[in-house]
Amino acid sequence: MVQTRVHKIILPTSDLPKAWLNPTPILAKLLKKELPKPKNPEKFDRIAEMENYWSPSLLAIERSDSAEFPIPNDVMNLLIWAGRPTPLQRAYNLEKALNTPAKIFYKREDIQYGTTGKTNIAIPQAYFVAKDGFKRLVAAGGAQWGTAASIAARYQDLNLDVYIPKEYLESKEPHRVVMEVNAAKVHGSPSQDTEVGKQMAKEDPYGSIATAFSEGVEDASKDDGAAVIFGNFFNTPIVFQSIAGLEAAAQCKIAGIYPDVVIGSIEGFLGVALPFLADLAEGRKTGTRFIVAGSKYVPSLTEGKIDYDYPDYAGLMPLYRFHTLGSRRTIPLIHAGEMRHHGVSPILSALVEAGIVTPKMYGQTELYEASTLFCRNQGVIPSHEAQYAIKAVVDEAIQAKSEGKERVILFNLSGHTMLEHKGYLEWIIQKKLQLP
Amino acid sequence: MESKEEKKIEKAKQIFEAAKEKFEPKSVIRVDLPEDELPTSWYNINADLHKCGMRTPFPTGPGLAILPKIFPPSLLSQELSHDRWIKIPDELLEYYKIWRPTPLHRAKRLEEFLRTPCRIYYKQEYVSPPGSHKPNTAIAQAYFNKKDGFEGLATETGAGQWGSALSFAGALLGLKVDVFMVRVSYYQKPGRRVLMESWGARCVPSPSVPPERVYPDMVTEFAKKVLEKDPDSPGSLGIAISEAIEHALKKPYPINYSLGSVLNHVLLHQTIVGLEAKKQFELIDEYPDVLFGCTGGGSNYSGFTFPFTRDKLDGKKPELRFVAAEAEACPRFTKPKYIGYDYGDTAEMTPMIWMYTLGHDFVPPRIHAGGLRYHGNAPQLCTLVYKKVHEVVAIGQTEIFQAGQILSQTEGILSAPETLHAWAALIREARRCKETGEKKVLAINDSGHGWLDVRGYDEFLKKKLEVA
Repeated sequence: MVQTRVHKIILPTSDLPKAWLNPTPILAKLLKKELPKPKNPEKFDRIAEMENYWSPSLLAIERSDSAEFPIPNDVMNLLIWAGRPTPLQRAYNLEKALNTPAKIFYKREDIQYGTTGKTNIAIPQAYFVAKDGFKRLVAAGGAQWGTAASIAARYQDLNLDVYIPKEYLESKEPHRVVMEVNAAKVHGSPSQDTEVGKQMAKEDPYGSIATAFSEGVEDASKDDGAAVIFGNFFNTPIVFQSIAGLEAAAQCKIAGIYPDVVIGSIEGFLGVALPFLADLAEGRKTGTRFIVAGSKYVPSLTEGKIDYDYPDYAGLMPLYRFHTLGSRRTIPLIHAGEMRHHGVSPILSALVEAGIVTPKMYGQTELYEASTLFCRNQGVIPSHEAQYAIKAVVDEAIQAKSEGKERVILFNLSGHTMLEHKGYLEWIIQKKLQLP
Repeated sequence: MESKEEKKIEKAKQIFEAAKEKFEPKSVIRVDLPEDELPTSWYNINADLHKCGMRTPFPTGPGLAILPKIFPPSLLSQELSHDRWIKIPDELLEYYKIWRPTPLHRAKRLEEFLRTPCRIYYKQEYVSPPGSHKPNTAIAQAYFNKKDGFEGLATETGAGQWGSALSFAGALLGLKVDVFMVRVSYYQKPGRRVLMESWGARCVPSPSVPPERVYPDMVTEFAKKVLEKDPDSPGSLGIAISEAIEHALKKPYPINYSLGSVLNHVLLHQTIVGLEAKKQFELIDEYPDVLFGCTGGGSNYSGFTFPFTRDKLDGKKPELRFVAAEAEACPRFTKPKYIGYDYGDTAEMTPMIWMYTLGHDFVPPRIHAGGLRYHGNAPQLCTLVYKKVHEVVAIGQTEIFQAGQILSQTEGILSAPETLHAWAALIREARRCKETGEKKVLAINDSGHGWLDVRGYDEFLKKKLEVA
């Protein structure tokens, strides 16, 4: 007789979080000081210019100090539509394979319609943009972000232009098709469709998240009927992503556990970690460890300097203070497309600077070794971004074994790889990674 | 057994009643079934099929002799069983729980777009790690083969959905999986190979010989024969089946053959889909009027509809309708060559089975729904179609991708080309009901996602579909 074990903790739809968390006050409490504000470069008023390309409601959230924001009913329904609440799953088979005393839980953000947790951010942003009366949405970021935005745009009946790094049109081609099925116009950045794109094309032919940002800003600034949305870096995406963490916290309560270690990739970390950071800030819990995993080819958190810099390539945005490799740096073609950015969000940067979150950097070979172990035991073949979290989880579980100490590990499985497999092609078929 | 099932449903109902205060049934978007409500037995339609006036015709021919050599005893006994309920072993339930139960989702946005008075529900089978309903039987077949002492499974795959499902199951249960993939797809669809080999399977193009066939113990005589005649053979599902059976018969190690559709035990394992859906409908106090599915070999459609079919056969739901959607390019139900005994493969190695068939040498046009390119269908389903318990409809390729685009733009899901045949049939019905004002409940098995088959969508958008 096998005992009945619960694999997936399902949150009833009626128990979904009612409000998003704002990272800004949590951070202020944790650091016991205000987060440095963005500032203008010498010649331009970049802060005032934000109003030309942001939607007012979103800009208000971006600049707000409120502890939380209520989730409108319409948004809640659409989030449920696209797959929320997602299960919290126990990785029994992986634990067994690693022979570890650690208990490993993962948040199934991969299960949503866009193959990633990015719809968490895109759906509310498109909602507010439509509410503010805009007719056209501009999305700037990676390919997963574009796909999520294309679903969200259709939910609000908005026209959509997507700027993603040019190289992704080839390496992440299925995303392009999904976006086009959803009636989006996809631009490979640097493109010839914007002035700033034409200039950048001379310097960085492949593009990065930073070049996509610049083009999105120019496009939306020139059209009064358009607003741009971003899937990372800014506070707003972190606010909307907090729903994943809030669900996870509620599910941990149902399971009667509390994580000792919370792990995510640079792309997926804050979404799942925010409520647990809030517990730390409020003194409800102590001793929780936080690990963010990134690429050693884009080592902003370990080798970048903390200084004011532009989030975008061409410097059309205000200056923020964050770990940066320099906004004009050409970013190597790692497969984790959403992480090809010269910096990380100011919030994450400040958490790492204060020593609350530990960064770990990995090469690509070790990622594939860890994700192979994961998919052969838990089934899901993770997205390239989620691989980073998995590598850190495997390391943590092995450490638990060598110390002989139990611990609860929670991580964000931020996506699966059905829409992009060029990296796996190099690893499995060609047996040679361009960037090991 | 049944009363136990009913008790469980009663319990779930109570839970739902308690939750009703917070949760307006009108606003139901998705029905999640808790893990402990997972069905604990499969439903075997052999126990009830005779009520339509005909029993499942028994296979025949010299091929019968190979069955015990390529299938384990436990699966053969399921194949022949007439017990109504066959228990799912507890250990197997543990594997099912990695992705099951799957949600039942209301397609409210699609309803609004179509302005139909119908209520539409879809069963989200695509949430499994390989992205389709196929693992329901793959994991069961892997489990029973392992239990009966076998170490590996050989199989064929066309577009790759079945091969990846079996590879996934093999990885979880620690079985080796040897996949013979139709040569042309092998090179055209590297994404599928990536999945299979990520899960540790050995995948070779079929037909091929060394050095193209990198694993020397997977060489077959049949491939040599085919290539002597035609060195550039693109391969076919029929050839791949023959290769996989030869490999399993040769037994380089204790290995069996595994089939992803058509056979009774495969349909049996898939009934977990319909049994879950039934419970989910009870939770929201609905019962479907028409059920839809796509059909190539019949397994996803049958798995979804058989538990409901029982209610019709028993006379409890005489008005209940079932619609099986097939591809216009492969119309074994709507334009059969004949209805009767035919081989399952090209090389005539399998037993002959009773079915609607286009002839076992039929080569279907190259449509994107690779899973529907099979000349015959499952005998159990053929029986129900023959006795007019189930209806059939054939859909063309342009119409399915139109349905796919509507679905993506309203619901946000990108369905597999195979599944889109069912969606197109459902949309026809929903539109018809708009004219008549009938408020029907339509249910569909959303059997797989299309993320690995976006090429078809791309050709459709560019108006470059080879087959209309």
